[in-house]
Amino acid sequence: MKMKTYIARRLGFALFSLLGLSILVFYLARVIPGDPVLMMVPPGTSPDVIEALRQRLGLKEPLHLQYLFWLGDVFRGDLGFSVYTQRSVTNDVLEYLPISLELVVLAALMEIAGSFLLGVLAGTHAYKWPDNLVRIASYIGISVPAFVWAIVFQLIFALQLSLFPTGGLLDSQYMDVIRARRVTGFTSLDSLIAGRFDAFVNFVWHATLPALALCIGGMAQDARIIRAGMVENKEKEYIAMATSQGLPQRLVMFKYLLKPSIIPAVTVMGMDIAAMLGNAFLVEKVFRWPGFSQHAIAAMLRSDLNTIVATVIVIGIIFAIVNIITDIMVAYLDPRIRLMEKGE
Amino acid sequence: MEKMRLFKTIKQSPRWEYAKRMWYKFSRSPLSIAGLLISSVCIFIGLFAPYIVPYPEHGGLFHNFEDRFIPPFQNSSYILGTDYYGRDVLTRTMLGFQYSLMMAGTVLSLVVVPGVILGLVAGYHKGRWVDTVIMRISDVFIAVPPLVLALGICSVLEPNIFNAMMAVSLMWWPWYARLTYNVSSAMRNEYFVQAAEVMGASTFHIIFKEILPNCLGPILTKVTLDVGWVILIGSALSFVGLGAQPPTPDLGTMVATNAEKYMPDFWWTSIFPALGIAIIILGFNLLGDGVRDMFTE
Repeated sequence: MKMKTYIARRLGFALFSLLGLSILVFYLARVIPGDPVLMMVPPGTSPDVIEALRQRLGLKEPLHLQYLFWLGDVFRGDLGFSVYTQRSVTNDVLEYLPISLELVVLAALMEIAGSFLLGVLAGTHAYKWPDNLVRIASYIGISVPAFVWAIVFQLIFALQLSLFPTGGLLDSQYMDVIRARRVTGFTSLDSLIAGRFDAFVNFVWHATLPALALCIGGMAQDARIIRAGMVENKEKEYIAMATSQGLPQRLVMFKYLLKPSIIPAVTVMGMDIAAMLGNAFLVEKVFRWPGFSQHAIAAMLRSDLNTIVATVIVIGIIFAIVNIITDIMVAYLDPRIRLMEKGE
Repeated sequence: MEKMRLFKTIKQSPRWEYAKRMWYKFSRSPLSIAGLLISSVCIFIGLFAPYIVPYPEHGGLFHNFEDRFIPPFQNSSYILGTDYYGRDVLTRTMLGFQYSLMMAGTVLSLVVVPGVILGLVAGYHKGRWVDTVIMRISDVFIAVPPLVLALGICSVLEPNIFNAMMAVSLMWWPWYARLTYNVSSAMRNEYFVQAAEVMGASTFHIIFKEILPNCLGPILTKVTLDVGWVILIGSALSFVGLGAQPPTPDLGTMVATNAEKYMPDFWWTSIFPALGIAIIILGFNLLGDGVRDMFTE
């Protein structure tokens, strides 16, 4: 029962922050750049046309009313008109966002799997060479930005060794899969629904390097956190107890030692995965991944205000969702939090 | 009183003693020493780059097409090679340190003081409306990944390095407010704060003389670590084309423009500036870990 109130509270806070964020970006996009009408029309348009357009777009109203009109539109799913693509921003978001999301999801899965593997390896071999290797890797991981990883991976694995494609979403012979019928917008799911397993494999092959570049920095850090937790908990009495009762070492390791050790890592992993939404902006550029970030940057460089506002809001919403899921997972994993909620 | 003075002359002053203990804690880890060395070298290069680089004129619109695309480690006058315009990559990377550190210095000096003051005020008034207003506003800035908001702010402004600094500063203060809030609100009910309140000390005195000195450890640690993060965000902004513009020798700009145009064949034009970013971030991260060790018991 208490868990529900906890989640409701978190949702309430997130909604409040998002409203604040929408006010912030709305004012940024409307106040700083100057007159939006002058940016929409070609130079030399007659003042009458400009005046009429201003009237029609509701720009004669005071700013706070403009905000409320705009917010009403957002709740109806209308994010405005994009000057860059010459169509509705909502359409653009629906087309490009899934392509970015599947990259982030793949990177998240790789990060979780990789950090568990490396963390357990380092934790079970503490102070031996696998541990030291992970330690060095984590220092390199923390100091090399994602876009540098992207460039290095592209240079080595795509351009020099030709093991992976240099960029793009799919090879041209598979493009018919996404052109023909987009059911979900997610290339991976669409290709599976169409029964084109070869296209799915081709997609994963294209996504591997960008996803690796996105997750590798966080992976090494999370592995260090899992390792630190395991080394710390190994000294605890309940582990000595389990060992002295003659339980198999493997059982002690994975059932009793690993579970409490991953709780701090889950929080950090959630933050890392949320941060990937930002880093995707850089990695997509390197690998010419035709996703939301790539589209947003193109729009930003052309001062397409509606798309800029929509980008910040949409990423904010996903960010909030990832954070709430992380909190719920931590509460679920940590019996102290879970039971405290019940006991109250 | 007499006894105290005697005590002082025999032992060294407590301040000196304290500094020595701090240095001991810091220097126990060789990684912290390495961090101190790397970051000192970076700062030195950043401060004196225009005087120590081999070709200061290569920082701008210089061109010498006879020497274009010389590979690294082959020509003794261009150790790290040259780019499309025949400019020395080493010179431009070192000048890039200057821009990166200028970015970090400007952003942090604009951000730390207001952030810390807001956090202290909110922490001391925990549970009252001041707390709610300040912390809810700071939540708004934390509601998206820092890079995304900075990109959004940069894109409505003219893309240049000054506006990039303003954008990063605008979204960086909440992290200091948050950190200081967490430390100071926990300290709010300690006995020494209550004692000061009972004695009738002013709010100003309590916040700045009683609470602030106890928050300095975490704040200093964060400042050191943030040098690297601000440089990372700054170079990311330049990388997508919303920060410093070419021909400015900014590390992110160099990595992006050269990677896009000359990647497989002339890799050094982009990889060495990228390595420069990584070295700065590594140095300040190791230093930050050392500073954290210094303040933990």
